Amino acid sequence: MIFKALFRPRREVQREYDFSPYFTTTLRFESHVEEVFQTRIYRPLNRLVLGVSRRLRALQAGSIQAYLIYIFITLLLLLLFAL
Amino acid sequence: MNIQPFSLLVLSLCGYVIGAAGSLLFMRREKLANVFSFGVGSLSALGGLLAALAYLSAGPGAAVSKVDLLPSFIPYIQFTVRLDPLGAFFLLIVSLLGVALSIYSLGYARGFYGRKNVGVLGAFFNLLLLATTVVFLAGNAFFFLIAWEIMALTAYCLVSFEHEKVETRNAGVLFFIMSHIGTGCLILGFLLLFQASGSYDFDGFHLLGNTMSPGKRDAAFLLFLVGFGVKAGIVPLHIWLPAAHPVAPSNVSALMSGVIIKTGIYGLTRVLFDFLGTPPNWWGVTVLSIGTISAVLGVLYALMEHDLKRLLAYHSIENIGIILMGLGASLMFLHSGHPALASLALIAGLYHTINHAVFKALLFLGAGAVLHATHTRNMEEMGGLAKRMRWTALFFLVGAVAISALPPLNGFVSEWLTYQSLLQGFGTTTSLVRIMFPISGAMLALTGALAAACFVKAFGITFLAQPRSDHAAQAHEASFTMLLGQGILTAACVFLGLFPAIFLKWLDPVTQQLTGQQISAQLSAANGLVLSNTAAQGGTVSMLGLALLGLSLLAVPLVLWLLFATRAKTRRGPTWDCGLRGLTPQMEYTATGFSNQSG
Repeated sequence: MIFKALFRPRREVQREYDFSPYFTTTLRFESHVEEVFQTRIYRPLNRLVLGVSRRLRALQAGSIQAYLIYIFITLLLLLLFAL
Repeated sequence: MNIQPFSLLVLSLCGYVIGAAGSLLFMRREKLANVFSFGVGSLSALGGLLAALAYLSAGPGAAVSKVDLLPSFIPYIQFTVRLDPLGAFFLLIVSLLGVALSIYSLGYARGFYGRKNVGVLGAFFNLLLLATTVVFLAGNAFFFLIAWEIMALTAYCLVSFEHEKVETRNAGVLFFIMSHIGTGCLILGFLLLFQASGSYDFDGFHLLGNTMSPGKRDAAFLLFLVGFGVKAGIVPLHIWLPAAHPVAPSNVSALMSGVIIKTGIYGLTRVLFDFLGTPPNWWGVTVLSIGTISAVLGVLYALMEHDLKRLLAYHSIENIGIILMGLGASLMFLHSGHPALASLALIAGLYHTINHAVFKALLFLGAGAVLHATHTRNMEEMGGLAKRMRWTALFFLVGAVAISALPPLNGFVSEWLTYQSLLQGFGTTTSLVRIMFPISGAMLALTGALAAACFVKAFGITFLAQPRSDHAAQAHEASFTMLLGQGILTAACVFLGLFPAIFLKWLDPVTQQLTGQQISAQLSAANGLVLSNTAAQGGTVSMLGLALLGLSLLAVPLVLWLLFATRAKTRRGPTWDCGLRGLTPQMEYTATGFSNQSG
């Protein structure tokens, strides 16, 4: 199949029969086409963003003093750059 | 040109507000809310439609009219509504669909009685039409972004209308996130433009790119490409589209697919042709490549779907790709200094924009009627609906023929124009990128063939043969208003297909504004009966001729029947069923089998 790389099709067939495979009593069929963009681009990207935000959570300690320090340092850096 | 179309337009904007407010006011009485909101909505859209038609048919001389809707309290922000040719063209699209969809909704919303709040649906529907109209008419970047965000929010509310289902909620959130990534890029892009011009007025942005530094110009191009591309649904930013379109109510899906994703096309056209000036070559190449990839991948994924509305959603990606092929080719011609060819490619893209809006909305309305009747989106549970839903089947068939780009309907005209511009592109430049033109042309041909195959499947599995489920067997025809909505769009498909010369004249003001050329006179020959490309290797096609040829071919089987069948012996017997006990739905081709993925 030409588009195998794109679709990555998966097909499952389960059949039950009593005496001969030609006379199936129950048949279960399932087919699935993978959405390459979801699995190859967005899922890793999602994982990356969530991972980075988890790390950044350390900054969000909820302590006002810490935030004041951050603001002070930012201000200092900005002033240093501006002058 | 007098102020008349413009005052009609302002009236129509007020109409949407009244429709939304009244709908909320009558929320407790669902029938009244339904009739009021969608009735007022269709009248307002009709006003917009007439305004757009009057403006475009007045010819390229019509002045740009402007008015401030609200007094401005904040510096830089003016709430300016501005009617210019490009805006008027997109106003035509949103208003035409607004009329048809509002009428359709009168019947469709009855399905929600007692179950969901129709007043809320009507209010958001009117608000979405209002916001989308304002997006096309805003004359100030801030006002544009405000309308853009209201549009995204109301669209989110409408997509999540049936929020009891997990699938719907997830799709809504995905749309919301993607949409905001896009808006973030747009804000940055407009800030870059503001830096260069010193105001947020669209008038001040005109051809601004020629005075910007190349680095900032390229950055602005990329930001706008991503920002508008998310809304348009280009690959790889398309993932929200097949998730959000199917779960929305069908009138909303039609509006999303017909108009909302076109706001991305509007934005790209506005920015690339109006603001950013003469493009470097790689812009055109990028847009053309993205268009080609989107078209092919969109149709390939569509072929694998057996959820009717998801299938249509993937086709939207395909058609956005075809539109972008036209725009990309046009940019490349502008770069190489061929304004006439650039206008041809631009017209091809814009023509396909309105065509796709019309036939895709028509198909979604058909899918909505089917969904209304069978309560399933899975094609494997449909079948045999043509006998029970005659009119819906006919309208859906017209839409399917149009989207497959078969003559004599509208899809053929715009794809023909796209081919014409692509095929002529090879000779316009000597650089290696000219190889893009034949590649894109071939890909477009592949796309068209696959789309036709896909709609043979969509129509055949859904409407023909025997019903595959009890729901399909008990299906009933849609109500009159639902059929009327589909009928209007069907008529639009036929008009745009058979009389392209009339419509091309209305595009003259747009190309005059964006490329400085008017080419409708060159494109039509023999008093507008024949569509012809007057360039050296240009082609010629007559849509009416093709239609007449098709009709006259109908006579052939009649003649053959008269000659042979009337004299032949007739024998009646049961259809051969391999010796089993009668034909059952189990023997039918399935949607999965039709596009067998592993064979």
